[in-house]
Amino acid sequence: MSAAQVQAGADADADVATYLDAALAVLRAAGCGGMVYCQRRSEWSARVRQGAIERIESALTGGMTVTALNTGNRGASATSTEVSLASARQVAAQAVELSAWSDVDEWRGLPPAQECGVAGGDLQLSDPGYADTDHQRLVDAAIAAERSAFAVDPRISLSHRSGASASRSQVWVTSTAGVAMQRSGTSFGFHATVVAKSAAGERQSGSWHTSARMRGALRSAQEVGAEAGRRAVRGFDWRRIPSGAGRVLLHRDVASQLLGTLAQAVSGGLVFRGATFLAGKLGAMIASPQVTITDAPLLPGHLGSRPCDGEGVRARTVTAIDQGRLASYLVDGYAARRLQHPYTGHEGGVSNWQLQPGQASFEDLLHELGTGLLVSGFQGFGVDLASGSFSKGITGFWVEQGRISHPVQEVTVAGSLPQLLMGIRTLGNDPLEQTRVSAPSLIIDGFTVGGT
Amino acid sequence: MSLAAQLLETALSRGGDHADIFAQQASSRSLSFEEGKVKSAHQSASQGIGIRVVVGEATGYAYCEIFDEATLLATARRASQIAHGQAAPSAMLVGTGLRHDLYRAEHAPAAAPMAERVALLRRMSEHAYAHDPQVQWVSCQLADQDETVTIATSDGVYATDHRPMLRVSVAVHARSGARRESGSAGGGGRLGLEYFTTHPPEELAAKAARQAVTLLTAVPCPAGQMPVVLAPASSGILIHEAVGHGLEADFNRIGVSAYSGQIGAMVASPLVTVVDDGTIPGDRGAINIDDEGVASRRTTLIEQGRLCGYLHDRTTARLMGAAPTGNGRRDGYGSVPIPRMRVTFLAAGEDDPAEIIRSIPRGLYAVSFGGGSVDIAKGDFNFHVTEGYLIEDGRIGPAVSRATLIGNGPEVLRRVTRVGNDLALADGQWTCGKDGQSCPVGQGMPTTLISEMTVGGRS
Repeated sequence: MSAAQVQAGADADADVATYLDAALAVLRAAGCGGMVYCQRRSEWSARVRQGAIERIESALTGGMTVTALNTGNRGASATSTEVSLASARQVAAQAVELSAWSDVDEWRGLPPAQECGVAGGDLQLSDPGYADTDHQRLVDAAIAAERSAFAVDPRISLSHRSGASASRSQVWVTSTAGVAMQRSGTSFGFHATVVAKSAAGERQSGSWHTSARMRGALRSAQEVGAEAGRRAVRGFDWRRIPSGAGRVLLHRDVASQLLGTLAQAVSGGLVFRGATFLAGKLGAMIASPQVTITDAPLLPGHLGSRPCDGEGVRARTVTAIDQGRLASYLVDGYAARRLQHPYTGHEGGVSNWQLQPGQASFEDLLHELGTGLLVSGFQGFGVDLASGSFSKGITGFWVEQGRISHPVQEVTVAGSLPQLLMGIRTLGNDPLEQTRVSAPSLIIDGFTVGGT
Repeated sequence: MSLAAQLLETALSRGGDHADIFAQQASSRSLSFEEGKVKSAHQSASQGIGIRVVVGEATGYAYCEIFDEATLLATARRASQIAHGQAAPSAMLVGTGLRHDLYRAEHAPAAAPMAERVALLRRMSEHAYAHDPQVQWVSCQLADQDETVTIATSDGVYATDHRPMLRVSVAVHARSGARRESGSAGGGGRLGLEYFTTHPPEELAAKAARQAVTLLTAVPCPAGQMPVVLAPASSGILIHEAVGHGLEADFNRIGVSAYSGQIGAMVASPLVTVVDDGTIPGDRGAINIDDEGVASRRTTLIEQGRLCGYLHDRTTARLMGAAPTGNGRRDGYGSVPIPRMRVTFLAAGEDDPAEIIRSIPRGLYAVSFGGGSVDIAKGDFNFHVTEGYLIEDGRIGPAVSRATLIGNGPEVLRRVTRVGNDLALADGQWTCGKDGQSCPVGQGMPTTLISEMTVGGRS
């Protein structure tokens, strides 16, 4: 094990290191290779409603997972919530025993040592003041946010699911190939969800939130509350619109959801299964040339940042779609070997998955849309990555000559992801913030609108 | 039982109206079979204890995963921090028997030889590959869990429930030229491997493969409003989303549901009777007791269109002056109990299913479903149809591509114009999500006509 592969963080726990070694010893004694993953987490959360605390929860949790690789790369794993020496040995023994039942799989294995390690120096993932967190201040912020939401409009009088949270987690990864990694991080957040009731008795809800690795980076309670309130009343006096097809403006909230779908579509596990419409498309133009999408794990202080992935593979910035061309899949070790694709460090999914913003302001986008549909919310699960079929309910606004005319509800949009990607026309300069998946608002062609 | 009493006493040491302990030990196994071979095997063990203190409308909750006395007492003290008064008394714990014996795990998977489980998946996989040459990839999973929960409450309940769960699933990818489609199927319940004697693995394999292959030649689904006929069983997702969640009492207690304040009112067509039943033997949604120690039961929510009650946990029942309904459920020891559905269905009507379809000149026949969701405040819901057909001149026509259907719960329930006599329960594969907590549920439906829904198609 070289020095570069060890990050002896200030909070390294000597006991856990002993457990990891014990599990590796069980694997080696059985003639197996393998990997041990251990995590510990402390979390606290509160829910508030109508100015009072409704619930406070706290917990200390943990877990160990041992993956055993038997002769012929037959793999199996075992997990326990108990983090202890006895548990480490028992879980390792269970994984070894189970692995005898798996069939030979030449692609299974461990990431080689040269792919492993920690990158990025100080990624600012942990708030040094976590241990001294004054939970009452977080509760106060959630209550203040709720109050700010109520102040937006007299029709808002009910609070629902407002609250705050704080957590700290530590992860250890070691393997029989000589990898030994540790990472830790904190996160803080609070949110407000309020319900507005119209004179006619119709209810609409709105919510907003803030979350960050450092408590000091949270948005103000006033800002969160005001946005939640605005969202609760913006949909009143909605109308339906006729069915049709055409250009649509996706607000950054929903553009980011669409972007999240793409993260799955380029994941190696779906590619080798032929379960994504992007299988076999490496190097091809799959989106309009404005589209560049990167996964950036090394941005200091960002929610998705990490020095290494869940297999200990060194984190690196990956451009998955480069000016419309599919440049890379996102692979874990198995998919990397199976697809003969370079390692990207994606065991555990994306880190900070970003569609690079463009130049247009939101006003510019409204103007470019002219008359048409602005989508502000998606509902439902209607995506199939194999076929690329996309179909969801939406909420939004009708735009007339570049100005928002009225809210729209009970409408669907549907399209095919390959066509939609090619149909992205103009990108906004307003990327969604404080999120792991971030896109700007954008104008897109190719949706069919289902209305009256 | 004495440690439990001590923990309850500590939990109530600063006062409180109610305290309870939820101890859970679970072991689970899963086996995945892909490309015709055993891909991986996994085994998992978890244990934890959650301690709750309720004071008025406020809840303190803490949990831990270590069962030594000092850690448990510290956990009870953390939960007690919500209260600020004098110690409250706790009743003497009395071992509480179970009213029901609803689980059917005669052939426990944990005791079955691994070779037997592998053989079941091999049969499933081979059948799916053989279904059609366009089938490119088949993956099958068999998972089971043994769970023991013990609940002790400050009003004296001390009950233990052993809960088995079996779940099998198959996913199929098919390809024709550049077109790729997928299909999936699953089943199971609170039972053992005897499930396969009535549900041969080949059945699920054929269902998933048929779905994927049929979609390869499906026509685009139309967009806009049209009549929708829901096929029996899995269409119960409509009831789950359109009305089930909206009737969970936590939402109604604070007035945020579209159904708040509607008890006694006609909220649906007179053809609509909705039931949530936790006592269907072997069903995925069956529970002997809920996670607060309340006996499971059958709860009628809507009777011939009239709203007659909500789904309660102990807290909502106490605060709303209603009787508990046995719907206080949780994801596990890491979560507080909240009102959740069990097996929710639309009761059978009197119509001949074939006649319902014959009565539609043009519409959609929806058979299989992906997920769904609902906006509680508005009542707007959606679900994704993964297998559907056009109805043309009263006949089932060509298959259509996947589409999301949307509607407003109260509105759609008023548009239920025909209900078939063929109620069926879905095979056990559904998991409901709420507040970040997952819960196994069941659902059911007879053939049902919704006179108009919005279909999110592309033509």
